Amino acid sequence: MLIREFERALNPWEMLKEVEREFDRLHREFDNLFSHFGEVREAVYPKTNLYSDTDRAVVIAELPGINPDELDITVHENTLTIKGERKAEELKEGHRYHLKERYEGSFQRNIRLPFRANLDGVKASYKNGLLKIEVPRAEEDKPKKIAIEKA
Amino acid sequence: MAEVVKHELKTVTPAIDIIEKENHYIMIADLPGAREDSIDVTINRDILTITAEADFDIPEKMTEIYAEYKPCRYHRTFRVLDEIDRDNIKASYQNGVLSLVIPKADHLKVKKIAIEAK
Repeated sequence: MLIREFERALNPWEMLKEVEREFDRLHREFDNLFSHFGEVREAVYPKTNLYSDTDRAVVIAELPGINPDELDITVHENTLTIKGERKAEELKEGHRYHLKERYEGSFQRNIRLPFRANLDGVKASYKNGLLKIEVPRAEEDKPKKIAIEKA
Repeated sequence: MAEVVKHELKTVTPAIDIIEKENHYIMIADLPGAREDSIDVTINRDILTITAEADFDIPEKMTEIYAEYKPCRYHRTFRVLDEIDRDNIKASYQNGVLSLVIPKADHLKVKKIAIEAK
């Protein structure tokens, strides 16, 4: 009993009780349920939004804490691929995790664009952990207005 | 008096790592899209709360093809015990990641005990 109390005293986070609303807790349990299927989890990292108009598409991906220079971003025809790896901090002896929820490991997302891309015009920027990629539409893929000849 | 009704943002539970080192804990929270000035870390009695608001510029006049996340409010609360030095918690934010360095209370820090020569 004494030892148990002593261990606890050394280990405050183990006793951390989250005081979130029941809804949040259930919500997270629901997420965790899916994270057990490794492939599904990989498939949805990073979360991505896609916007488009007739001339360009914008992809915004949630990638906090990465070095954007280490990302591999490629475009082939109408598929944009984001590849990278998220490394966890290496722990020294005596250091340990009490909670480990952040994504770790390599990831790849293939995003199908609504058109073929003009590779020369692709631009990427990184702010507040969001990666934004702008892809212009290939000139030959743009819709053409057809003039109606007068009879 | 006009009442400003702010659109209710969805609350999202951020992913968090907690690492214990010799003399401190490190708490790392992924807060992608959070504006630095929206981040709030408070410790009130034994409750540590992290909140932040994430938004991003939705490209103007573009159609959303799909969205796997939306602007949101991050919220996470922990109950901490007395074994931390709550007056010396340090926070930093970079690239969507909030890091807290939470020192252990003095009496829990690793101390090297010198062996006296006989």
